[in-house]
Amino acid sequence: MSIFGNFYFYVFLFCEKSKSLNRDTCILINRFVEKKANFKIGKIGGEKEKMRKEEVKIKAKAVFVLGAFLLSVFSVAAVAGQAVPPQPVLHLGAIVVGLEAGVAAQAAPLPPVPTPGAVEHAVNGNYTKLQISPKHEYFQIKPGDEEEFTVKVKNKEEETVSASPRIEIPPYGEYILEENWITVEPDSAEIKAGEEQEYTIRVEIPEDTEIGHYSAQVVFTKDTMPTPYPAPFPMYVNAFKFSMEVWTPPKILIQPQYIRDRIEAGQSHEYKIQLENKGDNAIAINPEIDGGLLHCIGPDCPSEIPADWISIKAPSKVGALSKETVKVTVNVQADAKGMYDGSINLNIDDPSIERWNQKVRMHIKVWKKPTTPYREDFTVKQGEKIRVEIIARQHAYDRYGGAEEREEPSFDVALTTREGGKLKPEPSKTVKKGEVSLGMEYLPPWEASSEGMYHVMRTEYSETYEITNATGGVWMLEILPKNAESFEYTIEIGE
Amino acid sequence: MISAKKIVAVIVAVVMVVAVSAYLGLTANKPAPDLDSDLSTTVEFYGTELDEKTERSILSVVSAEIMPYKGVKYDRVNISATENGEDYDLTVICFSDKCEYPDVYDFTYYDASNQLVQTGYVLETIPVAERAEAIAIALQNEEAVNLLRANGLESVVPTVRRVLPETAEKFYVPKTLLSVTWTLFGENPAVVSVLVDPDEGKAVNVWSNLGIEDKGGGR
Repeated sequence: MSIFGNFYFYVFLFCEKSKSLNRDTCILINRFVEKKANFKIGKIGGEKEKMRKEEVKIKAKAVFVLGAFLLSVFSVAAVAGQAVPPQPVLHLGAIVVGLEAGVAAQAAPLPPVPTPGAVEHAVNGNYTKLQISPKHEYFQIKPGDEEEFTVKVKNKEEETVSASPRIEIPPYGEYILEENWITVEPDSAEIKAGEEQEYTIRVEIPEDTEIGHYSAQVVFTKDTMPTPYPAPFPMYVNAFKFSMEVWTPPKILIQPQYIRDRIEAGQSHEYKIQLENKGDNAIAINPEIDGGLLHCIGPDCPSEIPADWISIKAPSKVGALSKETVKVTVNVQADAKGMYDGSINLNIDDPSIERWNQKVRMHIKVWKKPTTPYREDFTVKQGEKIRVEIIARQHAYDRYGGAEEREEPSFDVALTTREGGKLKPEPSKTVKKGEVSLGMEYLPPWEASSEGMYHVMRTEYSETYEITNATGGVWMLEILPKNAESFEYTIEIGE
Repeated sequence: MISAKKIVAVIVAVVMVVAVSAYLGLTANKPAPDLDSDLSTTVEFYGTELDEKTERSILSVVSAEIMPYKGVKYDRVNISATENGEDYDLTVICFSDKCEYPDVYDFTYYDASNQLVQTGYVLETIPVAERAEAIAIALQNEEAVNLLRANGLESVVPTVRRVLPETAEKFYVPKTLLSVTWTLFGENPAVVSVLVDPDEGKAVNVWSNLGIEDKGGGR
């Protein structure tokens, strides 16, 4: 089976297996891949799809014939019902118009759709071959500023191509860019075979532009990509696409924006989020519990932090050029267990801070300190030596992100015999071990810059307990770990 | 027989899916907004005690050399100095409250000439959303996925590190790229690394020490 046939499922499994990936990461990965995987599966196809091909083909034919008939009927009905000349509406729009209300199409004209001729043109690979460089651009810009690009368009045809750039604004963006913000020079050009034409694209953002993300295309020819279904916006073949974020520097600084901690069940912890207003006016805030960030499916997904665990103390505003603290207390229920995610939406009245960045994300690992020790029996001959070594490890990725420095692991150890009773030996030796690499043998070539730097890969804490001249018989080792999520032990008997 | 209602419902659903997909496609890659450069950064010196003049000189040259990832601001910078003859070896660790991991730079500071030479860097201060996106992009590379599966690397948390343009140029083009690397430590570490272009949303190179040839996209 093609890797992409089960790709999304695989990524899901990957996240499942990668228990150390936090929920945000996992969700974002899944969300991103889901988008991409849909495309890939559609493009490359999976075996299942192939197996069902015949069946689908028959159904598709039936649907197509019926659809074409209905489209024609309703398109005529919709166009007939319009007072203005027919708009180049999407056929589907016509269906909706026909079924719902004829005026809808006038109220919200849909973007032009490729004509059947153009689609056929592209299907046959007979579209104008222009090499556009760059094809994409992303930039951040402040209101009142302008940005300029040079786009090179090379004619790969064997004949002259007339390229008259025009602006196309996708109607479904977060914010809609105005066409008059963009100028393209020259506004038309005859590009001879094999020659290149430079276009200067200037984007000027008015002072009163809303903060947000905008996108547009500069389209050089009418050629469009074929789509197996009606597209709400044509996919132009010869286009330069750009998206931009109109932004202003936030007036409020939030520290921290990410809380990652481990709390013992039944305990509480207070976190302080500091807000610093760098502006000249007071800014209102209204922090509230925002719950989980996104949906996560699977047995290893974190739970949402229950609202009744969290209490927030915060002022209603942050004065000009001053600091305020939002106190968030998390009271973990005594019977809680596992990973919990949530967020605090600070609801800052500052449009320059995106909604996503107004949230302080919380990732809490709730754990129960074991109250009963781990037990292991072993048999010893009279007079033999017992040596017990207990090891807890922390890996490189445990080092950062916690609200506090981790305490070093330790253990309460007891050794018991029926005859001798319980011994609570002190460790004869404690060892702290680290594995530090200079990265020479495992770094990819593009990370060679970090060769020679110290990479702490893991640290290890161990305690050794020794009993000499032990009483013969069955012994019981009891280990109660502290500040350790896992440990290893070794029991050595004899010299 | 398929009813007209069903057909209409199917077509409406398809258009909605297309519209939503297109919307998501166009609004992806949202980096966090950049913070104003005049917002405060706390700088602390550690290690060898330096006089005020040297501290100021070091701070001045270090500030010019360290650069966070787009949309990120360093909130804390720890400069650890170790005397090396007449000069200083510096480890500069930069933290951002928005990111989980720090950027670490190693420099040698030549006191007499007030010059700073970078000797290494590990740059992991990347916003959580972009970190996740880089991992997702890397996971779309079939070769990398096969290597991860074959070598039991799925349970490993990958590192995501910034690759600066001067290094990126050798493997792709001179621009900031992200290196997503899975490493299974042990006697014979197993490593799979994917070089990702975050702007284009694609993997541009793959490297592994597991006997797979470099089949990267390259230039």
